[in-house]
Amino acid sequence: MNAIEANNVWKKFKIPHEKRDTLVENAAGFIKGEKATYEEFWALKNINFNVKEGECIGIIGENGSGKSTLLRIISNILPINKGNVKVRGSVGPFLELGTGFRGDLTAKENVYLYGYVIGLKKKQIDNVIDNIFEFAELERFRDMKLKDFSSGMNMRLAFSTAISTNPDILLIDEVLAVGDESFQRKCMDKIMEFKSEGKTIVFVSHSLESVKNLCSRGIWLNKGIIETQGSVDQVIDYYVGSIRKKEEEELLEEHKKTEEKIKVKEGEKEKPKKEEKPKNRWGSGEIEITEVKFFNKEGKECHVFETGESMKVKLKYDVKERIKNPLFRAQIYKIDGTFCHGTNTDRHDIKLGKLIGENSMGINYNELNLLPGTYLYTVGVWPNEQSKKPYDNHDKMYKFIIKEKKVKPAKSVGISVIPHEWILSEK
Amino acid sequence: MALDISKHKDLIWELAKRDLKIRYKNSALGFLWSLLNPLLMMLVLSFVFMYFFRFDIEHFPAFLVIGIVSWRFFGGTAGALQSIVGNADLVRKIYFPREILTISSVLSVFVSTLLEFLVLLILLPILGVSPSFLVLLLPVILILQLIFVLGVSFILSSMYVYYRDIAHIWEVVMQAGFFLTPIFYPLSFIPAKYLNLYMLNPMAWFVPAYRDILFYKEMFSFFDLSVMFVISLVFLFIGYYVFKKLEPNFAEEV
Repeated sequence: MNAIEANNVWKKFKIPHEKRDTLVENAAGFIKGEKATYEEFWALKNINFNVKEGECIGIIGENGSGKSTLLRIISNILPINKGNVKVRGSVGPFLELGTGFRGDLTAKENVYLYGYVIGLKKKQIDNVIDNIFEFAELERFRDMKLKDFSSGMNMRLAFSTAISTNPDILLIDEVLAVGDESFQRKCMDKIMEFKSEGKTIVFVSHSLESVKNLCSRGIWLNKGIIETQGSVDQVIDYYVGSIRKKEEEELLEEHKKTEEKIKVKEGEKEKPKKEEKPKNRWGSGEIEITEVKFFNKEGKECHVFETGESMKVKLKYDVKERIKNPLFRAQIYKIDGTFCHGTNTDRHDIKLGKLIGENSMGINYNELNLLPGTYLYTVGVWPNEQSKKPYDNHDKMYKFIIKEKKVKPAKSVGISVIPHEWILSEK
Repeated sequence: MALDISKHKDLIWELAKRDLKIRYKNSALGFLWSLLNPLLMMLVLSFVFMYFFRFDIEHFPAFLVIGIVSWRFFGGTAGALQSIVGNADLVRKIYFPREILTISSVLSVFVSTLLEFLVLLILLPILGVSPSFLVLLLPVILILQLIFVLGVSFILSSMYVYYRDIAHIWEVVMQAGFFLTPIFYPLSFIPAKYLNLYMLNPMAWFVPAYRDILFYKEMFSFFDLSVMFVISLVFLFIGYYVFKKLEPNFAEEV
């Protein structure tokens, strides 16, 4: 038996060019013969999927891809333009951030109101109300008006109300994003318990980890279209792969812009304009670094790496006047400025000798043991290690991203991978 | 519609109770305070029309207060107008038949009106008009006006979701209506040539009907009753039709 069936669902929003929300404006427009114009925006296009009774389905996708709209349609709040949606069983409230019905009523009154809305009798609500407040850890705030609740308290109340009234189908939209970690875990446990009771769950989240843990099937919504659906692992892999591709494209674009900035300086060497110089590049100019590029192990230009992958950096530089034994330096910073790694040619006892003209060099990071995050790369060429004035320094000008490994994820936070394991029965 | 109402009667009653609680600030004293407005109106208008305008109507305060209380019932539409928009969070977050919100708002007004009529029945003998057995017909008019008020409220509450100036427009309509309804003067004041036009105001049928049975102690005509019957049903049907037509997009628009 299917708990939810969506066949060929289309949903359109109208975005008026000029919002007319008064009768007077509308009448005036009508008399003047100006039609109210609006743009059409298809939030969902040809959506087909089924959710079996007792199944837990995860919906993933970027912001604005139509996930929340879909949940609203399932809960019968929004009408659709085409197609049909069949829902069997009672649907819990649409859980989202800032849930709450009436700010001018107390928490307790809100719970009762909600209970009546979904058709419970007073007695039935009396029976669960203590559980609701206990689970939400809000016993002391029963008689506080809802408008005075913090968003976390609000969410806790909404979640435990939804859970305690025992709907057949639970729709969860990113509720776990607020609330402290212990409450999040409590919610997750409760959702798991719900699942084991054979309830149907539709779970929308940006946390792919929770989607993977909870759901057996997944749907990836992309700009209103179901990009793919199937086993949750497949869908997530596909999604992650595409995100990575998109990030790579964005970073490449950014990298190109940085490169253009460098070129500008080169072209206008005769009369350097201070304001056009990139902020984080400085130096006396006897040697100029003209190109910095990152490559992956296949030799393809790349800006997104996995923890432990190899990275090769290639530099091109131009020596204007004959210079003996300059020092090349390369540093990696985390996006927040934390210094992660630095190296230079002196430390490796490399003597470059007398240089003139265009030249190139490379740095090979065999294992990039950085934890997932965004990193900035600095390269510079200096007269020697102690020198305060570089020939050319590109400070944190190049960006790359480290992703969690697909196989054997590091399961750590911080900067760098330190291999470790937990031993539970150590005396 | 009848089905929805019976299925959700707990919810309707609960929402109406909330409205009443807020209106009366959770106390019996709150109800007494709410009587201050019509009583003060009665005193001031009686004074103005008896001593300045020199109206020669016997028991004028009693005459007046019947009009004021029945007009206040109609004035409840201004509150019902807010019933959808005022519950925006509820509408956006969970599905239930939206007319429940408007129905419960009108219901709470109706309960207030019943209480006010109760006080009115006690007040009338004090003002020199003792009631007759015709009081038993009061529920008939009350029910007809209830249906009329509900119909108007359906139109207002659903249109207010889309057109926010309706609240201001309605305020003006209500103000004009107060003067264009026989509240502080009898129908006989209206020049014959304007009477047909004047009677297009539905409230011009209800207010005199209350006065017939409570003040003049006469039976209203069968024709009057039929007109009120038709008015209420027509407004209810139009109101419900408009409401249902606009309802699907409430969640997007509130």
